[in-house]
Amino acid sequence: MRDQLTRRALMLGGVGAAGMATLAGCGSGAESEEDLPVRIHANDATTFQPNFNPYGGVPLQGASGLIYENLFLVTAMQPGKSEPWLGTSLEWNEDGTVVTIELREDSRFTDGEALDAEDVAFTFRMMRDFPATNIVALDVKDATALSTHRAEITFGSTSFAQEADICTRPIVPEHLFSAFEDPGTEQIAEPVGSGPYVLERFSDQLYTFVRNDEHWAADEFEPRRLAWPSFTTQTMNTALQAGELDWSGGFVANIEEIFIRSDPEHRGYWYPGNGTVNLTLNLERELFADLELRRGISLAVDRREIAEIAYQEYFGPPHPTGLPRPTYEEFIAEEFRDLEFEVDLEEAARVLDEAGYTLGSDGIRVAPDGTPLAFDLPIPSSYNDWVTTSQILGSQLSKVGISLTPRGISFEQWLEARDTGNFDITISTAGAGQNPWYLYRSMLSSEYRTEGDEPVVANFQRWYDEETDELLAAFTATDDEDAQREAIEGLQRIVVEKLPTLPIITAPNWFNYNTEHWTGFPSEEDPYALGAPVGNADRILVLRRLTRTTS
Amino acid sequence: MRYLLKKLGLYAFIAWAALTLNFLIPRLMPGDPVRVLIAGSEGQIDPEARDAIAAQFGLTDDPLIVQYFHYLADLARFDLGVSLSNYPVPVIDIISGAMPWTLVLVGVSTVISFLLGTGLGVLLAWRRGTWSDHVLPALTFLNAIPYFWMALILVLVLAVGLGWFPYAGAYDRTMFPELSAPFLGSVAYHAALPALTIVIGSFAGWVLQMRNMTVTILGEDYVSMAEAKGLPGRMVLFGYAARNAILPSITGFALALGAVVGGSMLTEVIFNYPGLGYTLFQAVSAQDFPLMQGLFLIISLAVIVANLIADAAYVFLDPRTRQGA
Repeated sequence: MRDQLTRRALMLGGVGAAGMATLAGCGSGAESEEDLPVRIHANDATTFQPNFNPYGGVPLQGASGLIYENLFLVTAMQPGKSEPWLGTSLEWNEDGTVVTIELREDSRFTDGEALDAEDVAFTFRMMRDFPATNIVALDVKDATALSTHRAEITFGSTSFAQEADICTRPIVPEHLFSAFEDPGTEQIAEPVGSGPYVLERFSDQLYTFVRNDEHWAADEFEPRRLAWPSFTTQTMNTALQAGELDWSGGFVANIEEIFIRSDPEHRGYWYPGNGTVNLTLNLERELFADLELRRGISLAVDRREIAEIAYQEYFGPPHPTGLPRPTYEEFIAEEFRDLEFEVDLEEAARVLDEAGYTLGSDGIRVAPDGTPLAFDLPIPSSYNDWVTTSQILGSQLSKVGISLTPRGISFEQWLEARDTGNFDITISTAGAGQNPWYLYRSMLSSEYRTEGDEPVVANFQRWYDEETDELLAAFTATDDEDAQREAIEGLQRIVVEKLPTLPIITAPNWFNYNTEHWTGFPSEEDPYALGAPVGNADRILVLRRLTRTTS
Repeated sequence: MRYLLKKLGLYAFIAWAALTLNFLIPRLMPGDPVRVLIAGSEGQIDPEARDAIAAQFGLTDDPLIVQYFHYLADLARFDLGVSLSNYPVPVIDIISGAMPWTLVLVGVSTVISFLLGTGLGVLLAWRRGTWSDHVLPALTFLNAIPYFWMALILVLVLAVGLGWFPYAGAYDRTMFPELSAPFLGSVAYHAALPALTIVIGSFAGWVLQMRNMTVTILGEDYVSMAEAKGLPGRMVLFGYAARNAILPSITGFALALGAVVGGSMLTEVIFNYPGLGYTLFQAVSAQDFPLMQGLFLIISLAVIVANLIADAAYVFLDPRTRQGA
């Protein structure tokens, strides 16, 4: 998990690595050529705290997936597909309430115990018994081992849509976890997992993994060691520049200058969409319930200009369906495939005029009920990119007679406003999840509706619509791909035609790589996984491809 | 003795007040740590997880008074709770991990700053009225520049520009802590620049205080008497003037040592130094109440103890406080 506050903080930049380099030579960190680690930066931290419990709070990066393994490998880059890992096959019953999983027979925990169906069943029962460990909200009713290598999980409701969540749960050893009073509150400093890597050493500024040569897939992983040094946003930029990291997540302002320029041959970045940032109009305000007003605003927003100025063209403008590209490109309905957001100020003015928003003498339009179209746009002042975005929005909308005044407030105040609905217009993010259903659910589902001032946790524009809910439910009720696709296309139509929310920016998966020592990272040409080193399965997929750079 | 007992009673009361405030203040702050965590993930944590996370953190809706008694009971067992931002690592572990860095860095530089400042102060007082008086405006200037500004300039020039010093961390990121020369060297190397900024930022204050005090004392009759007797200058200076002039500085020094535990937050934030100050900074930005509380508790107790020691030291150093005691 990335800390947005620090990621957006100003950076120091510059060199200063000379001192570090001279010391590295005489330190114990001097590795032999064959044993060169892959140096990974996954999240900002000045110091690490030793916790590798994949179900306990904030575990260190790498615990899930590399130490505690998934049943199947799934990545948002290939939605709907899964590759066998601990599991060899996965079967649903007719109504999507029971799933049967076959396991491979040669998985072992690093303490020598075999990993079998009992461990899988235990892991899912643990999620049922300790809600704190059930962070993907699976409706587990029961889980049992049918035989040594076959487990059955029963759900309280149709759960087809959450197959990706089932696949990516890290499986924990029953013989160790069953001793914990509450696995969700247990700190595990010395993890015993089944994965292709084991923890080698830990200190508060660095931890290292070493390959588990007993693992059934050990041959497929060339990197023998992984090093996870601690960096904050500020120090990460300098480390990136000095070439001290091979693989990193995180936003880097002015990346061409800071990172690429000193070694363009090896260094690169790839920022595929991993969610959508939306201009969020509070639909509980009567004013914004008017589709024509939303249409007028959308027509006046130039997404390309935002991508160019606020995001230095790291990625293009979002698709009108809100589906991030290229990640969910294949789900975009035929009819919308060539659709792009168009700026059309004349059309915007016409739409607004026709709907009765007349231009006042001060250049600001007035709604039929007399309310002037002048709004504050509250945003967290620590989000530099959103601050820039909101200034651009303000000047764009002023051209059609809508006044939007950016107002930077503290992160907490903004949260409060966003969650309790105490705003007219703001900006909010929806994550891509494992498939488009997750994205649309968090943007549009009524299940998040609350009473009165109770804070909501998603669907911040408060779009409560029966048709939308039916489509979302239709997706979960089936595992037929065509039926699911049809539901997703229906949702796209709602986003495009009814404009419940206005996508303005692609939320990217930040991923920077340096192939000086290791080659094989995903890229636009070979998008086999998401690049940021934070996904359980994506990490496995990437590490398996890495080989020592030969030239 | 009665004087000390009275002081002890007073400090016990202050400690209780600090404990209670320490309990109340974070709870009166606005904000909800769970929502901060979810929003900070930019949509990568499922909003469904809200209740699960709240349950993990053990956030309750018990009445304040119930929470207060739980808090006191836990304190009695040295249980400071579990950090939220580093869940489920106990707060006491995080504090004890950060404490040594702060004690060494800020402690050593405070001692250096005090010795250097006080020594220089005596010297300047002795040579008052000569060229040395021209040093004073420079010292006043040093004392007055904002610390963070001076530190940032030094980082920019010495660490980033010239690359003479590392700009972050407590030791090299390719090393593991161990009792070896390269590791200790790395620690010293990483502490050098932050220590330098602390010394530069604080020693001028000691100089000015000591010089002014010594100059005052040098005008006292008993000093003139000593000089009239023909005692050597050195003895007059150190045996008569400085010995008396240092009393207020000693109190100041004891308080400064108490403040060491709080770390120099600015220093540690600027240098990304993993001490208590930086930990506190992060706890506040993440709304990690238990960690904040634990830190405030340790810091306030350290200041209270330092005050107590200063009071006690005074009793021995200055006979006047003993009268009527």
